[in-house]
Amino acid sequence: MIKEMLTGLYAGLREFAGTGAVIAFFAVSVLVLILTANGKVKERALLALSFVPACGFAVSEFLSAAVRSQKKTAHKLAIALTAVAISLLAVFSSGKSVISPEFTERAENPVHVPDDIYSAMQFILQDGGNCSVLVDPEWSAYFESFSSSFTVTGHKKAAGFSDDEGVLNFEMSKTTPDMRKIASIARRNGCTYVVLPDDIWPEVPITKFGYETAGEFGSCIVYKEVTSP
Amino acid sequence: MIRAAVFFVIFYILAYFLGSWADVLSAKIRSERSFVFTIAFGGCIEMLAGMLVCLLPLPVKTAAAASAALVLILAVSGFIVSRRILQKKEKTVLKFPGYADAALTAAAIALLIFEIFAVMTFRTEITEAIKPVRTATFVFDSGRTMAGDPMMVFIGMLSSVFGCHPLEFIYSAAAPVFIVLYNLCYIAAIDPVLSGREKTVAFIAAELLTLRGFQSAAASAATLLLCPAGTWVYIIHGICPVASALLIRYVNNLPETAEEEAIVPDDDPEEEWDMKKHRIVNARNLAIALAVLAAVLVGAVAVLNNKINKLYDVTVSLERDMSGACAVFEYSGSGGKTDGYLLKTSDGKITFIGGGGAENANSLKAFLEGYSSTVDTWYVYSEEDDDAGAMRELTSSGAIKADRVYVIDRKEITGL
Repeated sequence: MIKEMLTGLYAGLREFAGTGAVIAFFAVSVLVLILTANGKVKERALLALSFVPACGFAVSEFLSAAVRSQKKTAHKLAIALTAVAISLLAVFSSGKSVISPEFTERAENPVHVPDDIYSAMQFILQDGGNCSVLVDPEWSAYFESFSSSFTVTGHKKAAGFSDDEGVLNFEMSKTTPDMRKIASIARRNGCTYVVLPDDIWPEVPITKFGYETAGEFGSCIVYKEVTSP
Repeated sequence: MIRAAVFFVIFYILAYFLGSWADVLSAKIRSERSFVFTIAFGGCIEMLAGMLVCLLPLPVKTAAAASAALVLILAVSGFIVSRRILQKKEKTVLKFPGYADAALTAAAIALLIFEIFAVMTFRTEITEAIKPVRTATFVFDSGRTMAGDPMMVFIGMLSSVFGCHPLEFIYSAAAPVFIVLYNLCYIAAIDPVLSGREKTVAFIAAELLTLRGFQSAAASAATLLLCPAGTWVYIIHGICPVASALLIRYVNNLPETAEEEAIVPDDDPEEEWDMKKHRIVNARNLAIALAVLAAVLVGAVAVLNNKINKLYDVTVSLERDMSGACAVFEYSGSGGKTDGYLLKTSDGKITFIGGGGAENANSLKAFLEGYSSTVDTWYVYSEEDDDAGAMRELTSSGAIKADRVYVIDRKEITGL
């Protein structure tokens, strides 16, 4: 049990350490917490329990130390600016921005889902009947979060990730996905609808494999299974 | 906007009264009462109480009423207990965090407002962050709480009460409440170790980190501005800083306690070893033991959860393999002898060979329905009633649908 716990901890550490410099930043912060303790080791070490404030404390301590060490005004200003620059660099290189250019587009609807997908989801729900949908794996979270009526095929890697979804992920990562495979996956999983982006260039469109265009919503196209009258 | 304001006001009034328990704790550990710590502690407890009730499978309205009742009971009892305890102790003043530099403080507040504005206004395309919301949506659509991601079940319940979709609730009413709460938790953690300008600088750095750090795919669930209502966000940005603040306050006051203990004169050096004064089972040791036990239990649950997930994956793949492979099943008719074979091919098609006379119809129907009510291909041994009777009975009554029926010429090849 202990061995498994430690293995899990190590695996988790590797997963996070491999994807963001924030772990390194935090490790440096803990070092700062201990080195600048000045007789208050215990309480400052306890601040390490709170991840973000610990990093904030390290930045504050670094800036204070840099400003305090200088006596001449001009040097003091230069050192202070350098310290601020280093601190900002440390903070900004530890992740990527939540508020970056691609995220500064205003949400067009109250549920903060891209408007094209929002319209497609509403169309399918209003169309009635079976809401079993095969979607681009990038969009599956939107569908599942929007309504529990949707039965979604097309998850990204997750628990219960099926072989079909593996093939779908692979096909959708290609510029020219094989629509025969996608249509057969949709049919095998009982999907009445297939929702795909318009920026894919299949050699043969899915409309040749038993699905017809039911609606186009900006960059999002909804196909519906052709059934006998 | 009105909904967000109402939720904000109600949440923080309740948080203030629930924070009375923080005042009680502060009095117990001889620490100063802090307004920010009170509110941060109260807010975290309020959410915890709501989440605990939501784990019971109840109709949403009942769960909401039970949550409100629990929160109110905790708030009122905390308020009464704190009044009684604080009256007994020397008069304590509720301390507000002091900030020396007005410009830095204004910058910190501006950053906080920007964070709230950004979450409420801009759209995000990192879908990993909203994946857990499906649990909240299920609660919202079904009108029942359930055992699941506790925070998301709680959000589902709240969004039902406020009458808006969980995604809308998260990005409108919940965002200011949660972002302010978690920032208060940051201040509560920083407050006891820094003062004045340094405190503000640390807070600004922490705010910048919520805008920059954690945004790897693996850690998106812990990114405050991506999923302000996530469980991991609650643990990392709420519980951890508050726990840290509480422990720092406790440790901060330990040296004074030790000095006080040192000052107490030893009345009788010859006094016998008093077991009551030197108990092994005291509050501190008990707390340490409980903490160790809790850590082991959490670890064990994590390991077991991991094992269950693996078992589930194996079962799913086994089921897939079994249903994907070609399989043959034997049918025994009314006389006990083998009267047919069912073949299930790897693409899921059903082929049946044989069937026997009409007397087998009922048992054959029950047998076939165990696999499918449609037989893609049916081979009978002859067109005589002895061999095709059951098939005719079932297909003519519509109990079983046969797409194609063939007759096998069972002529034996001899003389090989």
